Amino acid sequence: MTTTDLDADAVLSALDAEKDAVHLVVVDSVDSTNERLLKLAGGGAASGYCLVSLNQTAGRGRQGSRWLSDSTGSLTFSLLWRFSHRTTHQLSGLPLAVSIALVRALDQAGVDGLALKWPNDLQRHGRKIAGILVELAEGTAQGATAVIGIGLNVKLDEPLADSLPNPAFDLRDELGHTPRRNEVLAAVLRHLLPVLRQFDAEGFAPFQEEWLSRSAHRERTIRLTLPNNRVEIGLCAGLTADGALLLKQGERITPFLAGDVSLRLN
Amino acid sequence: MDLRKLKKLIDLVEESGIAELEITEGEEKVRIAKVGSGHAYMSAPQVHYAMPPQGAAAPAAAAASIEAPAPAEEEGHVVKSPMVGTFYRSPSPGAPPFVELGQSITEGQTLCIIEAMKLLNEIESDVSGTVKRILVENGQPIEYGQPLFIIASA
Repeated sequence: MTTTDLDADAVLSALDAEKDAVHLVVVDSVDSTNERLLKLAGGGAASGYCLVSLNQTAGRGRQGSRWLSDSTGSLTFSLLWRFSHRTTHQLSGLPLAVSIALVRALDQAGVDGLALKWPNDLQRHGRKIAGILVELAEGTAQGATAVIGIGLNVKLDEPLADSLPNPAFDLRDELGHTPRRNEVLAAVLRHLLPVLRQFDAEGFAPFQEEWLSRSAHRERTIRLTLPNNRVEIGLCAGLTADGALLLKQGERITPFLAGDVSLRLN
Repeated sequence: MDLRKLKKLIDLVEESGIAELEITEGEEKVRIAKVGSGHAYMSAPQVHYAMPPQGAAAPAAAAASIEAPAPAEEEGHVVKSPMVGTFYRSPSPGAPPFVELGQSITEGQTLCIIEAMKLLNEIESDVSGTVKRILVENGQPIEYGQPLFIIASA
């Protein structure tokens, strides 16, 4: 790890006042940072443990999909966070709150026009720049523990970009240069840590308006494909205070907690 | 009444301790009632804000089923859902289920995944034994506290 743009000391020094809030570990290679950190959580790892991998060989997505990355062009890391004021049942809006932290960090870095696709995809004109997967570790009656996995495209190499099932873009395309991953990670953590603290204290509600203001589908007609493959078509009418998607069909408004959103094609 | 206003009202009911709110504005009348897990549903004269059929559309909609199956009568340990979400029996579509009926399992073994809005929760068995019943279908919306499995103790 001597000649890399990613090392723990550089990230910590860029974190300033927040540097004591994270325990940063950079490894050369790991199957999945989420999977590894979930195991460490079970072994008692402290809140703020952040595992960064230069190369992730089996990055996880939801329901068996994979997060593909390469060793130099992606930032892949997971952060362990222990919530003291929320139980597992009260964490449902967390992935959406995390997407807000990422949007804030990327806005500040100079990425224009990012929009959110429910629940937490960061994209622009349908091209994805980052993925978020939150997994829960064993909770207790007093609190809940989550592992927040983030993959961010810094500089996708062409073979990888071509092999992706969905269109993507990266920071290099956007900024005209390749930022150092140290700086990108520090920027994301600087926004993510306060968001997690606020979420612990107040839940998703304080982020609701900001999320909606960045929604790619607000008040548009969308198709929502449910886990059982049923398709619901309706107007995207906003979010509930815990992040569920409100779909308006005729005069009926229904909150949904699952499904894949796409614009309705006429 | 415009959408934004309706949504604000839904949120208001959700966040508050009240169970029901009725508002009349000119000729329009809206009643918002909180059910089950805290998700608000609406009903109003002339307008039917129905709850979708059980097990169909919205996971959040199946609120009435919290107490539905009564596996307490059966012998065995009941594994309940710690959150509202969608129930998955296997790690990916087409993959074999984590557990099958009649299978012997050990404490800590993964039984299923519950997902809500890309928040994933692998549910592990807190006892060793045999899978005696699987109470929900793959892809089915489930409620907080809903029984998922019955495990006959070893």
